Amino acid sequence: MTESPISTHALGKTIGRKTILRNVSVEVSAGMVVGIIGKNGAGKTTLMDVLLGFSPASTGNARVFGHDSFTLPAAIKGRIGFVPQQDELVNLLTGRQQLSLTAALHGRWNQELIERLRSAWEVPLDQIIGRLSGGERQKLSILMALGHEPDLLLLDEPVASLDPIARRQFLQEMIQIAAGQSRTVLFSTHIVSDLERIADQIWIMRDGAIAWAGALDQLKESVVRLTIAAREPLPEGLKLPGAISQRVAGSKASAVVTDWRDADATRLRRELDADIGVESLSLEDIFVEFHA
Amino acid sequence: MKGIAGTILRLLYVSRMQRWLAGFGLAVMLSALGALTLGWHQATHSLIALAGAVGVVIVVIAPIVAGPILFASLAAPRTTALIPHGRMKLVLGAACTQLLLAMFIAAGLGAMKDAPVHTVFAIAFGALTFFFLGFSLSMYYWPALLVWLPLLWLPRMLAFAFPQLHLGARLVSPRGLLALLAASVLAWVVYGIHIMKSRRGTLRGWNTVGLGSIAANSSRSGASIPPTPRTYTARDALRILLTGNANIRRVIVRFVLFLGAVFIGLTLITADAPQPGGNPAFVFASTLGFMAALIPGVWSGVLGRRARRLWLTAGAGRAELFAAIEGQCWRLIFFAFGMALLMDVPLVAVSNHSAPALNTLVAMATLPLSCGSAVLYAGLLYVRGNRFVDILIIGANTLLLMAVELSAAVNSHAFPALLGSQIILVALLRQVARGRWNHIDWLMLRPPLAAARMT
Amino acid sequence: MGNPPTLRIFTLQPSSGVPIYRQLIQQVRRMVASGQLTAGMELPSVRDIATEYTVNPTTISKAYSLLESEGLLQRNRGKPMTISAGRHASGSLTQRLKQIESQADALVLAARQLELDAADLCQFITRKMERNRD
Repeated sequence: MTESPISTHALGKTIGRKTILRNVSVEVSAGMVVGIIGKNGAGKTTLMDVLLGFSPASTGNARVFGHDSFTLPAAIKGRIGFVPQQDELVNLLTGRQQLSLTAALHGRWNQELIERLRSAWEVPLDQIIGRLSGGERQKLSILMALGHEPDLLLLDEPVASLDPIARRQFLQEMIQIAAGQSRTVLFSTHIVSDLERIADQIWIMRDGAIAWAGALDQLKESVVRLTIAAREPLPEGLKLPGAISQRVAGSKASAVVTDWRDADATRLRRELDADIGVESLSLEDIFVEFHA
Repeated sequence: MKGIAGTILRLLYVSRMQRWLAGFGLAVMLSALGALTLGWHQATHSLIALAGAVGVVIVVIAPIVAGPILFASLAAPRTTALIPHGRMKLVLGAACTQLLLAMFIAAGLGAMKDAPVHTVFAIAFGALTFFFLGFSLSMYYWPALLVWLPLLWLPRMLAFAFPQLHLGARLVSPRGLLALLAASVLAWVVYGIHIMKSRRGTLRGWNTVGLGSIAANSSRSGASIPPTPRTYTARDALRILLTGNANIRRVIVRFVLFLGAVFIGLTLITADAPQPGGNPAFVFASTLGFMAALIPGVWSGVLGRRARRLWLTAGAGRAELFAAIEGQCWRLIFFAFGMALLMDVPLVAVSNHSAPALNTLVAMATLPLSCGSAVLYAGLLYVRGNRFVDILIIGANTLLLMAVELSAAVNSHAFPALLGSQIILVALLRQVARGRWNHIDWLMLRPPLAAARMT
Repeated sequence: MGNPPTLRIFTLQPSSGVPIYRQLIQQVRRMVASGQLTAGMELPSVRDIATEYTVNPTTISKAYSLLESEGLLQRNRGKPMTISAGRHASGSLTQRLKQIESQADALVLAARQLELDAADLCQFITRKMERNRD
């Protein structure tokens, strides 16, 4: 299949008077692991809902494997796995029944995979789902989405209720999936450190729009904090190119800039006749700076 | 004080639908009142008064119906227990709300129809208390539903059963009214104590069926879990996941059995008493069918919300899901209808009056199907959130529903016409619902209790 | 061929501001320069490192590719990557100095803030280098 798993163009979503998504244009190629971060209410869940066709786009379009999201054919849906934020488990069934029912709806089902993960993650399958804890329910939801080995996996806050060990196990499974190169993963989370491990693309969502989309490596290399120590007081209206925040005090200044290149250091050093300290930032720091 | 007042406000008018209905009803009331005061149309005086009364009903019906649900969602969070006297304020707020509603009804009806205000007030307050408490209790212990709903018919049945006691006259005497008021207040006190002492605050399982908490019974729900065939067919899987494996048939059977038994008992008791109106057995029969068929109809709204999870997992299209829900609910409506018919046989048998005309029988047989499907499609079309047009449609549908049932119960001549118009309405509702489902937006289909939040 | 080193020879910090692939490249270069990794030694596979450190395999693969294009690593069909023999693995003087440029910048900045002059600093560094040799 040469169709990109996800492709949107000027996607917007408005409900009533509230604009939840604005002008989202992204393209995901097969094999990518995309991490979506954003504050609560930034639109991450809505984006996934629209991408999966639960909700029609108000403007623009979203396509999954080349098909319009709102009218996805059954064959394409069979290639998608989704772990929603609010799980959609049936409280009156046992985990085993829930999985059997889900298996019945998919042509392809890898029971060995489910068994392996079930024992590794310690998911109780013979208890009524209504009596499971939040973490167990979340693990079960993840199992339901992995069983049919989807080509495209979307996860909305999949680890919010998991303890660190469970989270680590989940990440390891994601890595196995990513290592295969052909399956695409999109997941949104608040736990930034998890993303730093396994995402290769990052989307930062802010107020319903994508504030930054690109490779994680590039993000870390291009967003840096500069510490400037000049010989003479810096000019008043100093505006460093690409700065998203800056503080100037006499002959010292500090700023966070985007689109940084290593060569910029020498140029800036010469221009300002100052020593430039370049500090790279963790993803969490970058996220905070984007919302400063 | 803020807590109590806030609760009252929330219970009365938190959702847009309630506000719309209130505004609409007030408009009708005020125009009727204006027409009456100005002395227009002496000939149609009673009709205008009726319209005004209907206006009163419209204003109060939403808070009455939604009140217990909202109350339960407000009482559920643990934070309520943390606020000093939080639950007490909630209960007081709920009681005051019912008081206000009763006063409004008394004032409204008094203005429209010159009814004795204090009588109406006491009866209204008693009735509202009974309704609120019964509904609330059934949300925590769903078997209470089986007891409470049929008791709505108790006064009329008692009047039928024991006309020589003149229960009606005794009730409206001053002592009777005072007794009623005292009983109502006492009921509130008992309920308040129960709520404050109650440790089980959560409504787990509310969203699985829509009626009561089934998760609490899950340890005993062996009958509702399929006997573990390891593999399911895709169709069965779709059905089970859509319905949440809820055993609605069991609910219907229990309901019909209980209500039928009560009706049969009352028919036996009134066998020798003079019957002013028609044959009560047929009143009971039509009521039984009506109530039973409403259960699956109401359930369609819950299924609509739950269908979301099948969009992706089952690879089902929107039209396919609509058909699946429709099919499930219709199967249950027929089941309820069949159960009611079964119960009608002994009911009619023990009544010693002559059988009615054939067309009456046929019409009454159609009643449950027609009413059940009316609620079914109304539920299916209410998927775009709270829009004014939708609220109007639901309101009109509900009124027609009540009119059909009442006209059947009193054996009115208008019954066939009303039934016929309902059938036409059902066909229309289905078209609208189907059209809407082709564009359903699950972001707008919020879970039932999202509107009621503490903050 | 030497014994393959144990998996945990690297220290990868996903939460650092330095991308993982860069951390890996820097560490491999240093280890080769210091002799910890000798020519012909096998490196763990991309998948093994990714699983061991719980990081994305793409970033490991990227590091390996860049090291291969530098000439530091050698790809053997069907077998793990090995440290390439032959060319002096540590590179020219300029290349080696470039590797510590960022640390040097940080050191110079700190020195400036403490108002140390170049002569004192150079003496300090030279003394440190002599001490470290032992």
